[in-house]
Amino acid sequence: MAGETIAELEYAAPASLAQALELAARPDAALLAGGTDLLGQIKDGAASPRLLISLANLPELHGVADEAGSLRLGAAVTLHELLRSDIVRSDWPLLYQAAAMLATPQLRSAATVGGNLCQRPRCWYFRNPRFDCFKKGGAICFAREAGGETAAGAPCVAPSPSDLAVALLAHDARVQIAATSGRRMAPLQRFVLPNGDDPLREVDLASGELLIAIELPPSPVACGTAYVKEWDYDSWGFASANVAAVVSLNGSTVREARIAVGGLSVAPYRAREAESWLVGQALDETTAAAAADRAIAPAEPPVIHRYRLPIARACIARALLIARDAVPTAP
Amino acid sequence: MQATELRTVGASAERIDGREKLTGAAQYTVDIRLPGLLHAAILRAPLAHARIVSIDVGRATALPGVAAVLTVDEMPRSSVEGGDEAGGEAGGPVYALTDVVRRVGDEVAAVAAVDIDTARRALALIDVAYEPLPAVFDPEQALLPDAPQVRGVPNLVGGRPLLLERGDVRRGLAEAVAVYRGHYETQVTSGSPLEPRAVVAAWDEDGGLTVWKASRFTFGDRRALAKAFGLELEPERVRVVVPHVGASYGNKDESRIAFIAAALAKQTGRPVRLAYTRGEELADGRLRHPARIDLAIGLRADGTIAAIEDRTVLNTGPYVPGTAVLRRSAHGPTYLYDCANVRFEGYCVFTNGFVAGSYRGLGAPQGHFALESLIDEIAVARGEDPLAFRLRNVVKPEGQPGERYQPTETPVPSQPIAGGIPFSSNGLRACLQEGAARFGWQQRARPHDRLPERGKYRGQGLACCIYQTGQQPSSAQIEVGEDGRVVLLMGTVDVGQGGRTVLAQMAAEPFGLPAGALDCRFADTASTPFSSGTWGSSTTFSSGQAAKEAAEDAVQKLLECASDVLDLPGASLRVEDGRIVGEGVPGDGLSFGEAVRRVGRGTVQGYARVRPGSLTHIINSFAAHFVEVEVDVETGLVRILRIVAAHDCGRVVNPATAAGQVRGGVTQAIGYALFEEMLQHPDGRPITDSFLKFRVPHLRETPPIEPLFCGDPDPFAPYGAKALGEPPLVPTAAAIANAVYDAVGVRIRSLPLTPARVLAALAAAR
Repeated sequence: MAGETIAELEYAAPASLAQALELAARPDAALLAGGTDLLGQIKDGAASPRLLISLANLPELHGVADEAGSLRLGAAVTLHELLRSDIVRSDWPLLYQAAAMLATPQLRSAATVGGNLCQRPRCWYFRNPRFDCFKKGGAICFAREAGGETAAGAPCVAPSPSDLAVALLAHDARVQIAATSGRRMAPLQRFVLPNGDDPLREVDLASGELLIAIELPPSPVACGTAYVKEWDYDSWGFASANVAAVVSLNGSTVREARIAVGGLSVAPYRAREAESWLVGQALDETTAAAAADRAIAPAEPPVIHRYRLPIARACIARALLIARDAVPTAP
Repeated sequence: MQATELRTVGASAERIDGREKLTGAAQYTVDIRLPGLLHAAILRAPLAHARIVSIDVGRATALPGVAAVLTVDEMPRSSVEGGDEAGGEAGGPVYALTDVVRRVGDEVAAVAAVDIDTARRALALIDVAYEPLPAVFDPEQALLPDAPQVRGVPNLVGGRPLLLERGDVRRGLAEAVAVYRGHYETQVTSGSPLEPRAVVAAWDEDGGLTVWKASRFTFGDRRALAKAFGLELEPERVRVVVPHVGASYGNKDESRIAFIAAALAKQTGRPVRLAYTRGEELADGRLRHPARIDLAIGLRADGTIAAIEDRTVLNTGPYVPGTAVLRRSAHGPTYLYDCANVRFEGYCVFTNGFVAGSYRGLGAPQGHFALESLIDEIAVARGEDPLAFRLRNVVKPEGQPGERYQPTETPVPSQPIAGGIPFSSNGLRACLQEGAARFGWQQRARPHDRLPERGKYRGQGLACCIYQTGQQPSSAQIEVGEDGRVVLLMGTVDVGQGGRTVLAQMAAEPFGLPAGALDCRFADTASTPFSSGTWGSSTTFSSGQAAKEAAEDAVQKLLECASDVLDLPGASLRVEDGRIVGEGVPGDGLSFGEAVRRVGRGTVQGYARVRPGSLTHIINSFAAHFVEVEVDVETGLVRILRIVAAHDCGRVVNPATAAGQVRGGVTQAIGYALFEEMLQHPDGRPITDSFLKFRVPHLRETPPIEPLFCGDPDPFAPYGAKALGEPPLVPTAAAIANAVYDAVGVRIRSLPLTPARVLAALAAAR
């Protein structure tokens, strides 16, 4: 089959950000961090770059740092490093849990934070050289076709497989992006694209741009967090639904709630309506279930993923209650 | 019966190939390195049904590094079907490369090049024009009169359904006070051997062909290759050698890859290697038949079974006719329960779907899934414990009801339909009782009146099975040299299941030697005697019979040598601990080497050619599996907590390898039950082309599996050992589905039990 063989590639490992950005402007270039996603894409015929730019030697992309209660994560920090970081372990449990439930130790030792955010969908059609889907210049979404839906010209329905994106959304994270023209910051919520005009992109990162770092603002005071993920197996897998919740309480009622939901839509989303509905409520099984119903209401998964709706609902309700129980009691 | 004093048989002998495999020294087919070796790749068709209008290989041939490009025109006009792929040439010959495409992935052209990347690049340069033809994927639609014909004949294999009947099912159903019915569906799965299919072919200067191949049947490959390459009258000029095999599961039976590699080697004058990628092994290998089964069971007022009626449709894809698979799917429904009136109507249907073939258990997992699900449902509906119901109704040791069988001169088939034939041994009740005791089975007949909305629930399920013991002609040769070494030569293949070790034990026993003392040479048509191949749970029973008899023959001849040499009566001599001893033998006995040296004949040979079986009894194996699951009713996830697998395989030759067989088979069954599924797009294109998409059990999905052996030595089997290869994955899926019912109150009649299916069943039931 096509795909099993990798075409000849150029490889560059620039030692400075400026060099990297210059190379990244080449339209046939791909950025190589851990490679756990990119190499699979190439083998599956889902990508065919001619130049691989290694991000291994760029110091700006490394390091986990506490900056006055904020957290800065270099984009090339591996998930293993993230999990080994004392700061993350002690102060950012939601992030820690999301990373810990992700893939396997072998993959985590190579995969990076930035790569996890920028990874492409796991759709079985996209990752199959026999199918020229919407994301490969074709005119059809085969996943919709398999579910008996209108397929021609319909946009891609593949959800982001990222665990970190869901956790980081609940933390109101921002991303730092560099280009030869300068740097910019963007809220993660805008960085992960819902079905945009360009089917070839899932994140707002133009050719020539480079994700440098992720910044997490300080968490709400006295909050509890939870990350709940379900997938189709007992062993590891990509999420069928994943949910991050952050809850802070005012006595026995909710002061603030954040709910990020993945697996149901192209980009993970914040369930704003459910979040504001919860404010002022006592958080118990009934209100958690009601909030979960509200949180999945905006999702319109394709037919083949509709089974995920009740799974996501269960994840949301469970996450809210776990987060509530994790709220530190007042001294 | 055997003498009771067995020393090597029955002990957990270390695997003969274990050290080699653990240290990485073991050579598999792709490890064969030859000077000038070329690498081959196959161009596969993108359409499910098409005629090839033209092929232009010019650009591919011109690519530097390409040594040959072949199409159907350069291939031998000799069918790859019919030889080793049992079932005959239903629908005309099939060539190794084709000009009529019958499935996505059909082999259209082959390239040999200096390396695999060049070969694969050349594939993209072959220009093929296809004329699409209408395709059919659904087996029921394929049976309609105006359906597109996949093989140029009506799609029903054999032209009519397979009918198996005992008694009068109509009368039986009429006398039933209740008739229970169910419709069951099972999916396509792959055996997923660690080693994908592979072959290396080389022609010598004298026009002889040597093929190294991961094969389960060397003599079948030899016959097919000899026929294809004009050596039919001198098949010895084709030598088929099997290096170590990374699992077969009854599945590595295709001669096609050997045809292609040999044709490329002939064309180029260089050795050629062809090895499947994982994607090819999954999508283009030989897969488990998907089944649709309608089952009806009629019950009398006393809770005994009056009638069983089964209609089964198997989708066999475009090639392997699958009749043996169909028959095997009938075995459970027609023979596991004591019942005078049974009727099985089976349809094996050609479609443009995946190629289904022989895979561990053939049709038995499908048939038992339906049968054991419905039996469980009946027990619960009656308010009876499913274990008690089974103990009351399973087939009796004296066989199915019927007129007493009159023996003929041919062995009783191991999978009959007629009644009146007793079993040689039947440990089914022991499996049920001892398995239940070990598992801690609790009497239960729990109807679920209210389905839970939240949380995780545990449940227990059981299912049992009947399985043939493979009765295949086999042979073995023993050579004892002047150095005293005992060499065991067998044509059968150790496909990774431990056959070599077990057969060495069975051959070593008469010598009083440990298995490791034997030098085992297997599966080389140039030097080992005939074997029917490694399939159908026949190795321990059939090849074991040959190994045992050849060893006994050699021992007898050694004693004759010793008798001559020592001038003692043969009757006073015997073999003990690898030496010849007896009254009048000086010192601590005569060594084998000394006996052979002093008699001066070079070697002493033992030989046996056997057609094993019984003229009076059915030789079958049995099992009962007990499963505990936990089901999350909100996410639909089924976790298996533990499994007890009780088996009657007669005497256990090697407890360690037997336990390995059981754990391996049960693990495959877990994948079958919970998530394995080969998927095609509606146009026939395979979707599941990697292990990320075709999910097999990982460690966390493999719970503690406790094998339990409950059988007595079988009087008609070598050392009393019956089949064990396939039964471990036969009853498990039903036991898991029954446990899911016990946990959360829904019957799921389609495999696999994915979260989506569990949630849908719960939603429908609420």
